[in-house]
Amino acid sequence: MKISTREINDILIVDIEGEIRRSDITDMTLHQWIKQQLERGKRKILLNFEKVEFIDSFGVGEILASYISANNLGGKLKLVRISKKLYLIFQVTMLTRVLEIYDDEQVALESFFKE
Amino acid sequence: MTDEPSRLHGFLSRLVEIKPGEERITLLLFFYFFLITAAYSIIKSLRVASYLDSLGADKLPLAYLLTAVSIGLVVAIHSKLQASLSRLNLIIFSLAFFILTAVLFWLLFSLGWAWLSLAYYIWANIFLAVVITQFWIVVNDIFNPRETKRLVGLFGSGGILGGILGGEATGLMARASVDTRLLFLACGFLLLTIVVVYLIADWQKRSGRGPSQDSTESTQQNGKTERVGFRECLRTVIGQRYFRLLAGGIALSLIVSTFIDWQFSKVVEGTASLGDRLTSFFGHFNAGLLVVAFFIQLFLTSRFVQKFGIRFSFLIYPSVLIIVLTGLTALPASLLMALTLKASDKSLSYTLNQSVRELLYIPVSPEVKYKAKIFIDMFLNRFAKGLGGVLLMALLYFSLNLRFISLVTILLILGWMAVNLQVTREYAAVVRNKLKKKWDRAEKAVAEQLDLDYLKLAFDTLDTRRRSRELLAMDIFDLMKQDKLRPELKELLTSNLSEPGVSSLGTLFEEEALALSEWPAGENEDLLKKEVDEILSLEAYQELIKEYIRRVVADKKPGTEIMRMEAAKLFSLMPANFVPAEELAELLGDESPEVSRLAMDSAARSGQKEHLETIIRKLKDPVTREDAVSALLTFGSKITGTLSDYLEVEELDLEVKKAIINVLSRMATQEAADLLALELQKNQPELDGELIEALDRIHHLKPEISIPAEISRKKLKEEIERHCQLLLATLDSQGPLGEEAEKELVRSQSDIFKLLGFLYPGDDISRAWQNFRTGTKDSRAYALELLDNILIKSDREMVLPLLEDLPPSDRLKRVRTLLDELGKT
Repeated sequence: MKISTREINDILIVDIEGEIRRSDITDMTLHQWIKQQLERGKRKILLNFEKVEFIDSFGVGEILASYISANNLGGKLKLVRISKKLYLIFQVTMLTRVLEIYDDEQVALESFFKE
Repeated sequence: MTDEPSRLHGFLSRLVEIKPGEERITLLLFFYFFLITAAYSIIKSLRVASYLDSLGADKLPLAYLLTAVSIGLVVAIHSKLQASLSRLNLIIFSLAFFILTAVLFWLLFSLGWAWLSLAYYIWANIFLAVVITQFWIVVNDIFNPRETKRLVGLFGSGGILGGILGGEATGLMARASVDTRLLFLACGFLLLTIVVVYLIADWQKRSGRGPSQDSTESTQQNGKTERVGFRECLRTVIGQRYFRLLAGGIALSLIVSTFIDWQFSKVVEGTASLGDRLTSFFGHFNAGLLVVAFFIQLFLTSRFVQKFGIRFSFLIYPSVLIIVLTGLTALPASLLMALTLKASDKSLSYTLNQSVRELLYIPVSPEVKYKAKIFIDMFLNRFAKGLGGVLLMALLYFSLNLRFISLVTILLILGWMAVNLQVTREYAAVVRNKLKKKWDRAEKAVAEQLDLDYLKLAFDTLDTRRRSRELLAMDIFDLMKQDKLRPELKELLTSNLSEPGVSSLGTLFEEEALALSEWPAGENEDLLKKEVDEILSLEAYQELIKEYIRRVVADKKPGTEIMRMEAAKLFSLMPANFVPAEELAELLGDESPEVSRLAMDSAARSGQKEHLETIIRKLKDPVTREDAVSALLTFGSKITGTLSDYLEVEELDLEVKKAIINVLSRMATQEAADLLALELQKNQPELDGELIEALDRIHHLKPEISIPAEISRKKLKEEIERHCQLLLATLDSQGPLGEEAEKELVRSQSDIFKLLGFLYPGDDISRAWQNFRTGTKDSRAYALELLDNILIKSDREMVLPLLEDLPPSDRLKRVRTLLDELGKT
């Protein structure tokens, strides 16, 4: 998993690349990385999954833990361009009702502005 | 509706159990039998006299032999004629043939040819075989077993009366030892027979009770030429166990009869006391025997067969013979003993035994019945008598001892009784085959052909498409998890989305159509299941989703129902230990039946028994009842005891109790059956119908589950008593039966059959019920006949009087008698 970031206004766009899976844990997990960003004062985070090839349940757990962390600090974590398969899993588990998921980055960014 | 019974009916009903409308045909058959036996008596007396006069007793074996050969030939010719002529034409042709040949014999007798008496002897035997067989064939064409049992006493007595009067007429009119002019008297009887046969045919045509299509014996069946002839008849008898047994029993009875004749003659020979009065004594004795037989046939045969059934009636004749023969073996030979033997033989053989024997043919399929009948009645009869003679001669070669022959006869009779027992057992199977199974219990048929759980899920899934993507996704995943996302359902879910009416609902469904095709298959399906399960178990997921659900449950604003439905559905997918009981309880109590339905399913699937009470409460409301039943079924047999405890609660709503009974029956376990049977034992008239229905369902779904016989029989008696009261109320009211009263009677009848199904082979009872309820007059009769043959005596005596087709006055009488008897026990 590779992470690169962009920032538009105060929104941190996190571009993730590769796979997010249990067997592929690097020095820092996604959740740990997000927590670091939260500690640095970032409160609006958009996770871009456009280049993510695979996410397993561990990966989903990382996203959910990141979401909780952001929420606990009064922040917002949103998702964009997730795969159809992941969307399906989110529908089955009703995470589509909990998480904010967008197809288009611009629309996602606008949703931050509206708040 | 029946007209006021006529005087004739009133008179005949004192003799046998005759129904209005049956008088004419019964009397016609009485006269038919009377005329042919009267004719035969005359022909027979000439047969013996002319033979002895011309050729002497020494040449009798030659006559026996030639008769056997000729009868074989007659069987072949008759079976061919039977296949090409209608029943009426066959009989008229045969009678005309015998009239013409009788006249021819009269002419030829004047020439004084010695060997003519041999031809006459054979002809007389052929006459007997043909006309008697044809008479019983007509009886088979007209009556079903129930009717035959009731009426055989009357029309059968015509035959014996014909024998008496024919014999007496011969004695009175004969002017010489061989008075061939008597043949004209026989021809007169036969001419009258033609008239009677025409009248019978006319009755058959008017009443539609003619020979069945098969019995016209068309040579063309299914485009194939039916094989006929002696060999075919023989093959028919050998080919079926029932006919083999029937033929075996008849052959043994005839061999025994030959042996008894000899024993009788032997004793009489040694009795000097009668001296010259011997001939006159036997004349009177034989005439007296026939009179006794006539009264037995008229007054006892039908009553006996109806009361004791075919099996017992068929054993009476050999049993009496054994008793008398035992006396003959143990005591010194005496004329009294010999007369008792002969009297028992002749009086029971022509009456009870003959009637039961003929009854056994009636339920057999016409395609084979008539072939077998002509072979057995025409050929085997003669052959067995001949065989009896040969066996007797062989035995006499070793010993002339009367006691020895009596012992051998007893052994033969024991064998004959064993065969009779077998044949009457097979009779029930033959009757059963006459009854077509018309339907299966709905649950069984559906269960065998459909997967109800699958259908329910499939319909829920189709229904949820219009509600939310999440619900649809959860439903599809649920189907997948249960390995029920079949390709055809997947296709249906996808294809229907493109219908104009549906697509107009918006892009959501178009996206969904696409998404459905994205659902994984094969190995990927398993991976998806695994991943979803893992996500559902994640701590972070639990934390997030619980918070979300808490909000959803608390928010009962309009338009939030879908959210609560989703939440309730999600619980069904979550691991049982992760389902929050408090939120689930909230959803169970939700006003929306849809939310409550999904919550009940989730509670059941997570096995949380603390929600049982709430679910059971929902059995009261018709809107939620079926869903509550489904949920309780999902809990499975582990809640059987709890459900049974609820049944004990006196103040529990009746509808709830009925629904619990329904659940227990659908569980279809031995434990559930035992609990329901115990409930049935209690005095709860308001629940009896449901309990019986429930046990019947279990019995059909799982025949291996037993239902305690003592409880079933006790309840059967109670239900019969209730049915009697219902009948009395309706019969006493005189007016037409109200719709509700009629329904109640049918319900009660249905319960009686269901209870019988717990005590006897379920398939037999089910066939009987279906044919009794929706069948024709004949199939109703066969249904009762089957019950008559499989029910034990005490049950038979309780059940049949309620089901028999009787005029109201007779039914009233029977019901009152039955109620009295039930009261006594």
